[in-house]
Amino acid sequence: MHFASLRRYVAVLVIAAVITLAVVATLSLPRAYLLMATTTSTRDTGLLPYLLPQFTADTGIDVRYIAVGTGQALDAGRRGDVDVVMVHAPSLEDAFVAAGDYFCDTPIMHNTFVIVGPVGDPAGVGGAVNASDAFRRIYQNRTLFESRADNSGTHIKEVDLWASLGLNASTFGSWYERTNQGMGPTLTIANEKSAYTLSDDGTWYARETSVPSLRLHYSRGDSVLRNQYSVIPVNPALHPGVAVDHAVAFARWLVSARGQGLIGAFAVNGHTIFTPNGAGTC
Amino acid sequence: MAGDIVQITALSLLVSGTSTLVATLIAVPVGTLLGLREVGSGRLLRNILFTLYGLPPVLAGLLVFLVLSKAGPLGPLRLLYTPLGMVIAQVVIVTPIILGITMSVVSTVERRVKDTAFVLGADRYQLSVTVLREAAAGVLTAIMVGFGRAISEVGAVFIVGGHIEGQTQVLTTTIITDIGQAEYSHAVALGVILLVIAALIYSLLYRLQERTLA
Repeated sequence: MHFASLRRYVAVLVIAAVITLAVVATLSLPRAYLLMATTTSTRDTGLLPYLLPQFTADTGIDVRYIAVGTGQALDAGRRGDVDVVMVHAPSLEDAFVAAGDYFCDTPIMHNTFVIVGPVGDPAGVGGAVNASDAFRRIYQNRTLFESRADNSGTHIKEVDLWASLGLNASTFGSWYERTNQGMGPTLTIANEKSAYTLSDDGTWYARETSVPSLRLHYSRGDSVLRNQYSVIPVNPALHPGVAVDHAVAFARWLVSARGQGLIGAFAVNGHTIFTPNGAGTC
Repeated sequence: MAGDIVQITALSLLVSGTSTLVATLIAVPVGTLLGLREVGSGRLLRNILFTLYGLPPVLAGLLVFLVLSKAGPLGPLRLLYTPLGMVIAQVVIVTPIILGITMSVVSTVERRVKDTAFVLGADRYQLSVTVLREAAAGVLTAIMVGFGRAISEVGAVFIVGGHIEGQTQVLTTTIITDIGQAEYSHAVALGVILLVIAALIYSLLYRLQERTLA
């Protein structure tokens, strides 16, 4: 390497860096799409891959999303990092909407929480008279239970169910394990450890064949197990630059006859999952 | 599953390649300068750099996330959940690695050639170039190690990129989400691609080292 060739190496490096940076910047800067934060269940059931292309075809608006827990999704909206959120935890939503971070809030659909567990149903959840009774049986038998513990809508529902029995999940012993992960990974862990867990029915039907040591033990759909989804555009008054027009257009499309029809027709492995119940509050 | 394998692979290479190039342009000159310094001076700086050398990618991801988030200092640039944001996170991870190795190699070589070079009438710049030439194989190793770390890193790109389909999905983040959805064969396919990239990089490194030493 002579002095001249060192300069040549440097020049090549600089040019290469400039070119690749330019490509990366081009991919990054013009954000022409609507960015949504949503829960893992809407992705893992296949609902979004089914719904979004139809919305884009109808309106010309491209939607991209990050799939996280409800707590993180609402926080991404509160920070203004996304344009719209689609989540399912009314108790969390209310706090964020009340704080003024959101422009409007409209229900779109619901599905059902189910209790799944090891093949033999050692806790006898299948014979429970209601959801609370099912949880009581798991508690009394101290059978292994996987909690998502990720502040997701499913996790909050699970904590509420323990609370309905006068139990505080944070005091449970070693039979109660916390995965801190999404529904898919939690089902995988429950399958490997032959444990019970609370799942939404959509993710369960999408994953059923890949978790052979688990069975559906309680799916009676008590009203307390109803899992309500909402779509919530971020407030442009607090977060200038969010695409509120596109976000509201998305919310209105979801609750329109067309959007609701598509949601009602969506099936996972032959099971209809979502019951449309949209209201035009956006 | 979800996401086109070609697109995911291309973005992985683009993001990690760009980070490595940018980190090289920062780290090699600075590392050479620090390596040429007398032993003893700049010891604190060197200690700090060696600490950053072991910076956990997930921590780098958290810091870059907080800085790029709209509520953070660089929020108005709207770089969160973009490939450029991922490049920034990886530059933070890779720069100390290339810098640390370059520094070590250069200071070892410097001790060996300094006296000879000055006897032969070299000035400070000529010494630097001579040392860098002697240390070229080591510097190349530094760059390749940096790239290896970038392409196999998952925590930072997941946090900062958000794993958005068609936008910020890379090989490592897709393997994580594939496993969550029991798409094991897709995950294994992506893992094989990662392995092939690593094999290509290291065989290239080996050839370059042989040529440089020859």
